[in-house]
Amino acid sequence: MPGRSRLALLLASLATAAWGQSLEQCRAFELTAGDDALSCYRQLLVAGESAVRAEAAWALDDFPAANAAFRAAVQANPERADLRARWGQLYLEAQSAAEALNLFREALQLDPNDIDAKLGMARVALGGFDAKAEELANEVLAAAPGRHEARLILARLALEADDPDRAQRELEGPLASADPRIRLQAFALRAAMDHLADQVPSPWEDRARALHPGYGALHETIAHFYIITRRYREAIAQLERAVEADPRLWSAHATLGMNLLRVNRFADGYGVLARAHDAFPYNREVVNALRLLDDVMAWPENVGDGLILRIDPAESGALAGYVRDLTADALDAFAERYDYRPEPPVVVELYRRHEDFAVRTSGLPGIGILGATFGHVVVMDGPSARGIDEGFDWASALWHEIAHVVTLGATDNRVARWFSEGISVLEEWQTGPSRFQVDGAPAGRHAVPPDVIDAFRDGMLLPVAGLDEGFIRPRYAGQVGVSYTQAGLVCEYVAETHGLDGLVRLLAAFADGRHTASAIETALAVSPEALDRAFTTYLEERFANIDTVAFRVAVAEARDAVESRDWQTAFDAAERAVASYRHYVGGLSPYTVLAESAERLGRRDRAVEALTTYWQAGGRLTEPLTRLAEWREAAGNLDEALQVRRALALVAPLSGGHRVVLGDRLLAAGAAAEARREYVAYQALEPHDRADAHYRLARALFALDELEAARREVLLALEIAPTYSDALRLLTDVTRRSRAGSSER
Amino acid sequence: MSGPGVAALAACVLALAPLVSAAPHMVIVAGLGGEPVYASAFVEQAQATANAVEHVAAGVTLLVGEDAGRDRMRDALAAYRESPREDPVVVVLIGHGSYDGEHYRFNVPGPDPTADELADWLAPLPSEHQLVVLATSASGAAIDVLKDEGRAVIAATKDGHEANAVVFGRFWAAALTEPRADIDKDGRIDADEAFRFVEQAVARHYEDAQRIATEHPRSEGDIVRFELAAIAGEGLDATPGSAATRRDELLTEIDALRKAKGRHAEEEYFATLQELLLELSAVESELDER
Repeated sequence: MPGRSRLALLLASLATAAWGQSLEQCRAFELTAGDDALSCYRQLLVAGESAVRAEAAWALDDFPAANAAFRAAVQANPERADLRARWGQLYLEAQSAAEALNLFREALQLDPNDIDAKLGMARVALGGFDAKAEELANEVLAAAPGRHEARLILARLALEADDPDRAQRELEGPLASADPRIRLQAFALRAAMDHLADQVPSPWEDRARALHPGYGALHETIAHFYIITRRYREAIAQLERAVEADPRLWSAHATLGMNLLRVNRFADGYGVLARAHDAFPYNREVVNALRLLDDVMAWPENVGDGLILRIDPAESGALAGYVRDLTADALDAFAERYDYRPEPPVVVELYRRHEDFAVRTSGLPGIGILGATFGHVVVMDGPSARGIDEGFDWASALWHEIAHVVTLGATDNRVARWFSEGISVLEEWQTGPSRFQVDGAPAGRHAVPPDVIDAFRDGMLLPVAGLDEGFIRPRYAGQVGVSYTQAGLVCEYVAETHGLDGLVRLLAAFADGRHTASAIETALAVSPEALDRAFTTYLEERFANIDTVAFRVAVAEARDAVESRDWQTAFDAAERAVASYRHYVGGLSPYTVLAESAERLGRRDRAVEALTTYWQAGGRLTEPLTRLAEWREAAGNLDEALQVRRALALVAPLSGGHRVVLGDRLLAAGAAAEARREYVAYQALEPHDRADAHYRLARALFALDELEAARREVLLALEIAPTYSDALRLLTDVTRRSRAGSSER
Repeated sequence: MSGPGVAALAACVLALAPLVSAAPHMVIVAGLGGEPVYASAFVEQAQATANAVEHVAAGVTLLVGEDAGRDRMRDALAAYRESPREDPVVVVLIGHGSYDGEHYRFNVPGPDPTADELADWLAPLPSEHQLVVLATSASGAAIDVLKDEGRAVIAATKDGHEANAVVFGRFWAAALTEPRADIDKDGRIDADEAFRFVEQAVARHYEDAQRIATEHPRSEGDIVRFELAAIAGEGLDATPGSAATRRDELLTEIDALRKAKGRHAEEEYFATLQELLLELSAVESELDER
């Protein structure tokens, strides 16, 4: 909740005797004369009652003093639930949700009917996009129908769920409240509704300003809705107005700083965050972000060809080549498919630690996603944050994020979340580096996780018009993952039935500002309900021959048999699993077991076939792919092996071994430019044998006739190892060719 | 050497003809494993080390199993009391070590020798080039005790508190036969090259396993001078004649140029280096044709 509205929650139990009136007076001053309010609160700092001193210190932004006073108050009155609830609110304002939640829980243990504690828990849930927020707010209203704060929470939830009608209904009470602070919050939400509907300027802003000219939370609230709809430029404008109206609104300063970072305004963002931190050093988001920025802003930017890369220098040399190639390929592919190419530059940031990525994107560690796109800025985990063998295919994830750059750019950030995710998922399946391209199977028809098929059969998929809820406020474990896949399948269905043009028309409809239902009606000439029905029929057919129960049983049997080294049983069970669900290469994929057991049984052909299917279906674990490459090389299928080695090095780009072997194979195949990229990466990974790394790069450069660069590299090799005979021969060749070239000129 | 099973292992002394005049005397010991998986691994690593060094070493004493006790270690070193002072002595201990806050101990059958005892056994040897390689847990604790003038030390851990079983020994044995460990491509692997190879391999091992590294190898002293193994494919032949003399001169000039790199303009440096290397290449070709 906005920081300045906190006094709306003053405890009735504190409103006693002389200091109780004083708190009320201070509160009244806040609406009209901010300086008088501060003077008023300063006088309360010497109040006898700890709880009053806590409130005064809090109002004066002295969190340590407020915290200490609350602690003293709670120690003096351990039975008082209300004090803990208020203390929790203090923590919530400092972005310490976990501590806040503990205090709210403690309060409810003391008094299960403490409304403020329950409201506090609802606010924590609201901030964490937890579906429990609605449940908790409704519990408050059931117990205390007059508590408009709960209505405000429900209205905000409705607006976040893109349901303005419901939000308007929820706001009816708060708009008529006798409490001006409740009305102010209601005005802000109504103004946000208008902004979301592109009805600006909103008359509700004037009403709020008339009631409280310094009510910065008005713009902070509007900004929140721009942020969650990814319209960061508009959010920044609102946040700038928020801090102008109320310079002490530190939460708005913090949000402004974080959103300046999102649009790649690093210096501006850093400045805002640093100033916010100087004045109010208790916001953990700000502290974390500044710490990270101290590192990131020292990274050299890799700029060129319409792309800015921001990668830890320790990994930049190994990753930059792939990131550049992948991004360029993705933008080309999407420009052809969606007739849109984003304005350069596109920014890609890769983080070595997931926690750094989390701080960069949300300000707080602990978020579950692995990549995020803010307009033309892509921020994601790098391959060292999470490896391919943990299931993170960073290259495919980058492809996914670049698709977001396209869908967000093509719609001026107005695309619905589900559709943007759906396009990104579809592109992973159909055009990405780990796309589905199995011989004899429809291209791009990725085998989705069995859990998604079960969710479909159990009626757990959401109607397309409400699919965003599956991302924003999931209601069961795994729903976010199911929603990603469902969104991809919806896009696949649209592409198959309406052609790619159907997807392009949907993008155009979103660009026109239409919501999902209207966009579907406009672009596809069907109602959302009709689309849902047709989509259901489509999935029934797509999943018709899949038996997930038999699949799971067979996979479990195969794995058990591998444990006991019963290869025939493992082979038979893996074959049954494949028959139950063909082409599935996710976490329970039977193909690797099938290949292992076939090899053990002396059936190399079947093993190669299984791993070929695994690879073509998008399987990317390094051990199976390494075996496949080696088997193909041993059989003399060098071209096919090279394709597998390309995939292998791409998903494990920090493995010097994979990179250098690929470089050797590419050079042998005459692909010297690609080989150079691999050798540059290998060298950047600082192998022990540096002379060898220089020599290999020199060979690629020589093949490319880049003689001066080749000379330099081979000299660097020989500087380390002067008797390195291969390098000496190469130096001779380079010198000879250079001199021949000079004499010809 | 063949690869006998653990139970059949006995002390085995290989008296090999030295390839060069300052070939090292090697004592390689596999300590107690405690668990079968460690016991067999230590023996394999010790044997692999012995195999790798046999073409370079003046002699190899390999102590494994029940013969790898404290007294046998002492006696093996005492055998070099009459060796010339220019002959290097290299001791490689592979196994578990421990540190009680005061003493480092190498775990062997019977009483465990301490770092102080090992220092006492090495001190009377005339060799002015001694190297101790401690591929054990807690071995960092022994460095200060063992390091001395003329004696270098390599340890698998930075101090005595890194007490988990180490992977250092596995990579040490590998380094001695690994062409990639041969940084200067001279066909020989010296202790510095092996150490740097192992240091990187250990770090990558823990990174790949996504585990916090529980060992951080350290070296103290001039370890470059200890030539430990020869690998196939590269290397200098001791061919007499004017071409060989010129090759040696060129290598000396190249070495001098490299040491003076900072005093040259970059392009001038590389141009000079190139000319020297081209001549070296020609000389090498001449030598190859003989």
